[in-house]
Amino acid sequence: MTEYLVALATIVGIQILLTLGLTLHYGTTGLVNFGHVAFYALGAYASALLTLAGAPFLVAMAVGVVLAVLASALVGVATLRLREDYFAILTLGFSELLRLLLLNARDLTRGALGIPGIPRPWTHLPGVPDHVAYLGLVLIAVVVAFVLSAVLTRSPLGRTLRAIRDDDQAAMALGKDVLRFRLTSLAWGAGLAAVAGSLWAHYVTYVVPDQFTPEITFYTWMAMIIGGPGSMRGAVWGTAILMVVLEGTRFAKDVIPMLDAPRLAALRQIVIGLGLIVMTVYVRKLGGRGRPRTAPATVGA
Amino acid sequence: MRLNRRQFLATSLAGSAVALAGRRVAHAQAETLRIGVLTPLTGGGAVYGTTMSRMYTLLAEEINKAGGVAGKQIQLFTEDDQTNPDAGVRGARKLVDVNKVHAILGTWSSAVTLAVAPIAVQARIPQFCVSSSPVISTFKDDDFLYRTAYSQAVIASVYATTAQKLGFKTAALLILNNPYGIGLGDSFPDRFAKVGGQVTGKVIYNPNQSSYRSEIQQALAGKPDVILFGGYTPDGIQVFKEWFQLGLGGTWMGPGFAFDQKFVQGIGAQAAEGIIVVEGAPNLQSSAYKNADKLFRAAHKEEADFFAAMAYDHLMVVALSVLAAKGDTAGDAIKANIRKVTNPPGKVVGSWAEAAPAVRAGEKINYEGASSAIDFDDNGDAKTDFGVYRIKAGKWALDRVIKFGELQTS
Amino acid sequence: MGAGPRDQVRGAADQLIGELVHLTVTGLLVASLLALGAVGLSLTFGVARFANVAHPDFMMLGAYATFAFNALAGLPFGWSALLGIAGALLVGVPVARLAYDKLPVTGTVQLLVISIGVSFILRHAVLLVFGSSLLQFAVPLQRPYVWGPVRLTVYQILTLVVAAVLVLGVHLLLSRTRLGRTLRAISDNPVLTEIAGADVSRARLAMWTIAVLLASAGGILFGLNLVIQPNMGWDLVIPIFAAAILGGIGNPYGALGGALVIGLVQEWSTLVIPAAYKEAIAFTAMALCLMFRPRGLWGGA
Repeated sequence: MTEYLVALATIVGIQILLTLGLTLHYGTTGLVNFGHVAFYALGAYASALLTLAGAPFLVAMAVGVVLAVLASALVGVATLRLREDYFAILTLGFSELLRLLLLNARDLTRGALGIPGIPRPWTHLPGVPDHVAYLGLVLIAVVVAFVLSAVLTRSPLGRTLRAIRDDDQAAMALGKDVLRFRLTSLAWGAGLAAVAGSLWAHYVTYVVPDQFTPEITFYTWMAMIIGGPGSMRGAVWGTAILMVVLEGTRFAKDVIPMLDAPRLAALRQIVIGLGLIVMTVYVRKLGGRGRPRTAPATVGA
Repeated sequence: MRLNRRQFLATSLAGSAVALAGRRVAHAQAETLRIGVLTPLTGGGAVYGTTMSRMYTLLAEEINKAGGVAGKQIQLFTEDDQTNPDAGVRGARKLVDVNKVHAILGTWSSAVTLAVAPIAVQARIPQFCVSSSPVISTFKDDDFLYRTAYSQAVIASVYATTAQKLGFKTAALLILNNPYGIGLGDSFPDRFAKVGGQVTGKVIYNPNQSSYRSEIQQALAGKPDVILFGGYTPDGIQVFKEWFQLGLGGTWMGPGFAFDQKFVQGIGAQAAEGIIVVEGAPNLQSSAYKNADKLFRAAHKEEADFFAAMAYDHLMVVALSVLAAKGDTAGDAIKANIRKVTNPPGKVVGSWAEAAPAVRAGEKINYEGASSAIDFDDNGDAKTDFGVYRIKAGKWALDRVIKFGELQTS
Repeated sequence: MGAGPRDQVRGAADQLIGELVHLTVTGLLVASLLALGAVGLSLTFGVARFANVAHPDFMMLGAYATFAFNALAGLPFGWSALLGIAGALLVGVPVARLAYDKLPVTGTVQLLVISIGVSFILRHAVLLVFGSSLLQFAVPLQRPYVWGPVRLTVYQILTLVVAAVLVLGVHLLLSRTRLGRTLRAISDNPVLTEIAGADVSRARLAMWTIAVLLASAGGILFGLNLVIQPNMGWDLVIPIFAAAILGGIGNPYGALGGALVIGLVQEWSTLVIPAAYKEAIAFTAMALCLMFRPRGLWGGA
C-alpha cells in the first residue's frame, strides 16, 4: 500500500504545480490559457536533454524554466491583446505546434522515439528508498510554489492582476500597463509548469511528445475549477479531489470485464468532459467574481 | 490521448496489491522465478502480443508441471504495453519496482523496447524482445538485452536480395516515423546499392496525418520499380490507399506483420494482388518448434507462428539459464549462463523434457530454438531465416525461403 | 545530340508546373473538407457568439455513423452516407442544443470550456464503442482519372462537387430565405432581432442543423478519401478555426475563402518546407491574421 500512496502523492504533487500555474493565469489574471501543457513540455524536454548531456539537475530545470518563460513572452506579446476566445484558440494551437516541433525535430528531441533513461537526481539518500526521496523533492517544490503563489496574489502585483481580470478598461484608465502585467502573470505560471515538467521527466525517466497533449491542459482546468479558480488553496485540494475521484474509475474494471486499459482511459476522459461541463455550470466564479461576462474583454482591439 | 498519470497509478495499485498478497506469503515469494511479460495486448501489435502472452503461459505451465526450475515455480506477471513506449515504461516500472521480476520478456515494438531497456539495465535483469530496430544491436545494455527477431539491418538485406532476384532496379521508401521504420530507412539504401539498385525517393510519415498525397507524389517522382513499406497495418492501409488513388506505378514490398489479413481485407484482395511479403521463418525442423507447435495447437487450435516460436524461446532460455545457475535467479547469474545454454558446442536440445535432465546432470547443452538456432552473438542478436511470399487471391503464397547464411549483403 | 540546356530548363519547368498543378489539386481537396467544417463553424460562431471547439467533432460523428451502417451493418455506401448524416443530426443537434443553448450559462469563456467538455465526451465515447484503430469504409479502392498532372479518383471529384454544392446551398439559404435573413440579423445584433419578434430559438435550432449537416458530410468525405479515427475532427480544430477566422467570423462565404487559402498554402508549402510541418501553416496563418487583421481577410462580424 505504501508504494501506491507514494506514487499517488508524487503525481498529485506534480499536478498541483501545474494547477497553481494555471490558477495564476486564469484565476488571478483572467487569462484563458488553453496551451498550458506547452510550458510543461518545455520544462520536461529541457531537463531531460540537459541532464543526459551531463548538466546538474537544478541547472537543467532552471533552463527549462527560462525556456518556458521566454515562450510565454513570445505567445503573450503576439496574442494577449486579443479577445479571450481567440487567445484560448491561439494558446491551444501553440501547444499543438510545439508538440509538432518536438515530434519532428528528430535531431534535437529524438522525435517519436522519445528520450529514455533520464537520470533521477539525488536518488541515494542513506536509509530512504528512492521513490520516497523523490516524493520529498516534489513536496519541497510544491511548498515553495504554494508560498510563492500565495505571496504573489496577496501582493500589490496580485491586486493589480485581479483588477485587470475584472475590468481591464478601468485598469488601463488608471494608468496600468495591462499588457506588461499579463505577461508577468503568464511568465510565473509558465515557470511553475516548467518545474512540474522537469519533475515529471525525472520521475518517469522517459519523455515522448505524445505525453504532452491538450488533455493535460484540460485536466488541469478541471482541477482548478473544482477547487475554485481564484484560490491557491483551492488549486491544491481541487487537484487532490480530482485524483481521488478518478482513481475510483479504476474499480470499474472489476465490475465491467470488457474494459481494458485504453477503454478505461477513454472512460476517464468522458468523466473529465462531463465534469468540465457540470462544474462550469455550477461554479459561478468563472468569468470573474460571479458575474458571467457577455462582452469579451479586449485591450485596444 | 492517454491520461498518463492515471494509468501509472492504476498499474502501481494493481502491483501493490499483488506485492501485498505476496508479503503475507513471504517464503513462497522467495521460491518463485518471477517473469515479467511485457507485450502489446492492445494497439498495433495486439495480435502478436496476445499470441506471445499465450505461449509464455502455456510453456510456464508445462515447466511448472514438470517440477519448476530448480524447485522454483515460474510466476508470470503480465502487463500490456499498448504498443506504446509510454505505457511500456509504466508497465516496466511496475514489473521492476513492485513485482521485482527476474526478467522482462516480450517487448514487440522497437520504441517500447528501447524505452524499457534502460530500466532493465538499471535493475540488472535480462530483457528479451522481438523488435527489429538496428539500434538494439549496438545499444549499451551491458549485455542484458537480447533479441530473437531479425534486425531491420538484416531484413534490409533480404529486401535487397529479393528485389534484385525479381529484377527491380529502383526503389522508394515509405517508412513510419519510429525506430523500426527509421532503422529500415537507414539500412536499406546501402544494401540495395551493393546489388546494383538505387533508392529514388523516401517519405518518413507520421500516423494520423490528414493527407499523404503530396509526400507520396514527391517520393515517387522517380518512378520506382518497387515501393518498400516500413510501417504497421493501420497506417499501412491509409498510405497504400493514398498511393493507389494516385494511380502511380510500382510493386509494394513489406513485412508480414504489416501485410496481414487485416491489411488485405482493408484494401481488398484485388488491390493486394502481387504484394511481396517478407517475414521471419520459424525453425520448423527443430524439436523446440515441434514442441511449441504441439503446445499451442492443443490450447488454441492454431499453428505456432514466428512470434509464438520466439516467445517459447525467450522463456526456455531464461529457465535453462536459471537451471544452469543452479537456481540462482539474480540477473547477473542468468546473464552469465545465457550463451552457455544456447550456443554450441553441446548436446542439442529443444524441449524442457530433453534439456532439464541434461543440465541437472551437468552436461553442456546447445539449445536449438523454435524461431531459429538461437545462437546469440556478442550484441545479443539471433540469426533467423526468412520466407518471401506474394499475395495471391488474398492469401500469402510462399515464393522462396532465404536462409541467413545466404545473405551476403548484411 | 543530347538535351541542351534550354531543353533541360524547359523540362525542369514542366516538372515544376506539373508539381504545382498536383499540389493545387490536393489543396482544393483539403480546402473542400475544411470548408465543410469552417462554414458551419463561422455560422455558429457568428450567431451563437462563442467558439465551439467541438464543432469538428460533428464531422467525426458523420463518419462513424456512416461506418456503422456501411462496414458494420453492410449497407451500400450511398445509403449509409445518408443514414450517417441522419444519425449525426440525431446525436449532434440535441447535444449542441443541450450543451450550448439550454444550460444556464452565458459568456464566451463558459461556453468555450463547455465545448471542450463536449469534445472530450464525443471523442472518447466513440473510442469506447469503436476502438482507437484507423478504420475505412467498405468501399473498394479507386484508381484515378488522369488528365496530365491532374490525378483524381471519382470520390475525390465527388468531394469537390459535394463541397461546392453544399456551400452554395448555404449561400442561397442565407441570402434568399427568411431563415437566412433571421440568422444574419442575429449575427449582427441578437438583442434587436429578438425584440423585432424573430423566433430566435427556432433559428438557433436551424443553425445547429445546418452546421451539423455540413460537418457530417465533410466527415464522411474525409473518411472516404482518407481515414476514420476518433480524433479526426479534433485534429482539424486549428485548420478549421484558421479558415473561419481568415474568412471573418460570422461570414460563411468568407469561411470558404479562408478554407481555400489554408488548403492551397498548406500544400504549396511542401515545396519549400518539410511536409511534416504542413499543419503549422494553418496555425501561423491564423495567428498572423488575428494579430494584424482580426476581422479576417474579407471582414466579418
